[in-house]
Amino acid sequence: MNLRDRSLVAAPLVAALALVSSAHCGDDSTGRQRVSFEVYAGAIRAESDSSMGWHVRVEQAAVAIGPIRWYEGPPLFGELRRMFTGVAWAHPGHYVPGGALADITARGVADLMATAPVRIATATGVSGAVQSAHLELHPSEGDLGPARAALRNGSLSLRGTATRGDVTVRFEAAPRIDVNIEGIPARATLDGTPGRFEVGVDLGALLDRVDFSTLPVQPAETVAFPETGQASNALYRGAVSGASWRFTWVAGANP
Amino acid sequence: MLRSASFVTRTSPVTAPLVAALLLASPYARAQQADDAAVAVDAAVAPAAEGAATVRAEAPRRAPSDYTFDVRTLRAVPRSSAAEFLTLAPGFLLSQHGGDGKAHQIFLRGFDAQHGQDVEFTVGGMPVNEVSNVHGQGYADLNFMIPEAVDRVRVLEGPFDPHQGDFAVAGSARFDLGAADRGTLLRASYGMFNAARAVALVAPPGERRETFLAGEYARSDGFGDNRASSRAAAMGQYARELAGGAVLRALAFTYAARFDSAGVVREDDLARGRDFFATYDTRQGGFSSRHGAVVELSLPRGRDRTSLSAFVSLRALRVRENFTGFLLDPRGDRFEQTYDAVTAGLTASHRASFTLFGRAHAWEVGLSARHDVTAQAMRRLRSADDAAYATPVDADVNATDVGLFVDLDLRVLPRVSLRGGVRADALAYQIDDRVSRDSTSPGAAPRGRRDAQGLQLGPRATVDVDLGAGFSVTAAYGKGFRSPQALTLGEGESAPFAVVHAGEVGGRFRRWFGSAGVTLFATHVDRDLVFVPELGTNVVNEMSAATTRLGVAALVRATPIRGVEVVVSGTWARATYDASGLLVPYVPPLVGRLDVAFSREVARLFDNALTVSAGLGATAVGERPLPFSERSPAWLVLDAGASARLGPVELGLSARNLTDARWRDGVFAYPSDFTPGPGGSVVPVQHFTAGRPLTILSSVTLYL
Repeated sequence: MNLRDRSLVAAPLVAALALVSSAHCGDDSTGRQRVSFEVYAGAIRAESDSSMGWHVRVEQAAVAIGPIRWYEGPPLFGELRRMFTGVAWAHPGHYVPGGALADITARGVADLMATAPVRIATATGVSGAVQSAHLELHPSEGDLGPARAALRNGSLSLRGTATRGDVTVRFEAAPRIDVNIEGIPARATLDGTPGRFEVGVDLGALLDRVDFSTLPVQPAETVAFPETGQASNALYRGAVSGASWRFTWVAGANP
Repeated sequence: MLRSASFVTRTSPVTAPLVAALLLASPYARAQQADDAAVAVDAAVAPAAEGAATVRAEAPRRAPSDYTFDVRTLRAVPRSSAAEFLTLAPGFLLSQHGGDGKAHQIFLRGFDAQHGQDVEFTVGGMPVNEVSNVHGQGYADLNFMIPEAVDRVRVLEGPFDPHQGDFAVAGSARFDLGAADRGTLLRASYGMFNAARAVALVAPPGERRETFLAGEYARSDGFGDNRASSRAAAMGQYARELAGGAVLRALAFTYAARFDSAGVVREDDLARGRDFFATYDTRQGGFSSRHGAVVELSLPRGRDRTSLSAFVSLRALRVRENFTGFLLDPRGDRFEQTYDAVTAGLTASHRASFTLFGRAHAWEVGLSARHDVTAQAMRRLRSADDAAYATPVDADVNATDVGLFVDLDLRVLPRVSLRGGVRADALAYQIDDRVSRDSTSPGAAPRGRRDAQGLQLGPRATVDVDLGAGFSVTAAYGKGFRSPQALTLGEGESAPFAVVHAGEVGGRFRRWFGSAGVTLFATHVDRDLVFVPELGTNVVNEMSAATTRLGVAALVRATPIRGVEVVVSGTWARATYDASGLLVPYVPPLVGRLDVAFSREVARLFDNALTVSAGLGATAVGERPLPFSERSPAWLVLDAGASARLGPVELGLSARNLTDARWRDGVFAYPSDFTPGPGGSVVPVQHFTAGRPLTILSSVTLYL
């Protein structure tokens, strides 16, 4: 074999090898990545005027939330509905969650009256654009430890006053709610950059439809929400409404 | 479909062994024997009674990556199934993630071919890929082959031959059945995990190499939870030379297997202490059977040849798997898929020679046709009692594939050959879909009947330049296709084929000791099928975008000393999505394989030859890219075997995974929740299926 023949062999091979080598210059990953972020919870509107004409002021509030899951599916008219009606929905109809991007499977208890949002847990997941979230409420059980006392065996506990005219009602509630609230608007791009999700509990929305006049009020005493009745039903509807829960992505380092 | 240009020459009783001996003695013949495109002349094949030698000529090389392996010597390397002979070809990686009885998952040169969607398989002239199988398009269960009855494997990595049809995306593989060593073989094996196997192979002396009768029974408790399996198979083939040199070949086979499957283990569970070989669901497994027959008539007329073959097969498959636990439904996500098919078809071709400008050329016209009548279903089963609670798939699919091709073999210059042609495939589907139009209302009207048809044209071309002194360079281009999953078709839809454009160039060097070659390849596919564990099948989804694969493969085959054969190969492939440049997940970029076999008579005892054989196999796989920019660990698995034969008795010992490495046979990333009840994570996590641990088998073989 002479030099020319060898060149004939080598030339196309070298050219092809160069082509293959150049192909190695691209991204050496499959895209996306594992991410984690902290989840905090705090109160929104501890003091508000309800649609039932009451001025409500919450003085103590705690909630056990979780698991929480973040999905890539958009909430169906989520923000639009919130804008016009002020409420979201417990049964979101044709909402399609799509792929799950992150979650926390444990439950965390938050003192909503703390001076700053309370850390719930660290969520783990994969990168992507989050558009909605699922949040579960369950009655407090032994797994919550000492924090269970603050919940008084409920999923959440509230204590405060409601005033309409010259009537003031001191109330407390610890409903045992067992529900998965789907399709809550929660928008963020999870790409590994620092940030956290803050779950805001809109106490005003929780209690917005409660007619405190239906409670068996005893003067100078705190009245508990009965297991049935308008107040409990309205609180339940408030709790399972997506409008009571605000997921906000806060970029930057955690507090 | 690959076809060989095999022919038979009749010689006199004197000249046959003489010619054979001369050819065997020459260095050139030894090189040819070791070479993947060589003419193999085997004196042992010569039917002495008739005084004729069977001379097997390969089809012309279609690409640098056109490999033919005579597996006779390499049997000393332990293999668990005939399918594992594929690993002799560069880039092939087989995964048995579904248990012994389910089709292998196949990786080849940057392709995750799933259970066969990208590799066209034929066995003894029978197409194996299953059209629109509910578990995966092109599902190819090769377990019905009895390893001892496999004579030769031809692998063509790419769609470069007009004979190749549906599913030849990453390439084709053809298994030729036969027995080079004539006589009767009775083998019994027993080993770890209560594995037992019995094989009988009868290859009557004096008959052609293709003639044999074989039976096999094997069972095992499996190497971990829920991995028991058993199978029984029988194959018989008879080939006879008729008047005028015509050769008639008839093949019949039957096979049935039942297997348990352990399924996947979550990586985070493993980290928490779960056993590497554990299972979440002990009701996984399946049943597989195949029965079939092939009749082929080859009519040579001088240098011309006409061939005609017909085949029929009956197929049944039932697979129960659970990839996701309780993620999709609190009743459990286990699914059962069933696929029953009757396939019939034929192939015909005529090849003729002609002379032009003083050189001999050839043309060929051929057709292939098959019709599949299938019934398939998928049901979701309640975890507690296997009661079906949902039926996502329930359909009959009839598919017809008619392919026509024209092929030219032109010797344009004394050392330059130009081969190629064009192939046209017309596919038609009749679908009777019994699933409700409204998934929330099972009583709603079914989706009903749909018909679809499509046509695909594919040119293929090869230039082969013999540079002399053992050097050659070959370049090839081909356009291939994969048919669509029929249930995805709409009424009157022009069937959307997945189209592949492939090209490669390679050089080869041949000498008396063997051959060495290197191939650079590039492949583009316009749409991939992606396995979705939640659905338990391959689908077109957002991950099905166009992909490109670039890579290099090398193969060295050598017979450095008498009795020793070495085959070593390595493949590097980079598979990326065109739009993003990101890597295609799961595809191993690096696959290496070594086979070393030794067999020699070392002494004579008691008037009998003492023959010692030994084999070593090594498979190395580099880190595999997984979704979310993660990587699976690289692994190396060694297999070794040795045997000693004295006269008619042979004792053998083989060890798979000699170092007892913990390796991940299959890797997957998706969400799952194997804990009943709410509360589990739904974020994608890594899963794996455990590879085989150290497994030692002993065997006794009688040669009668």
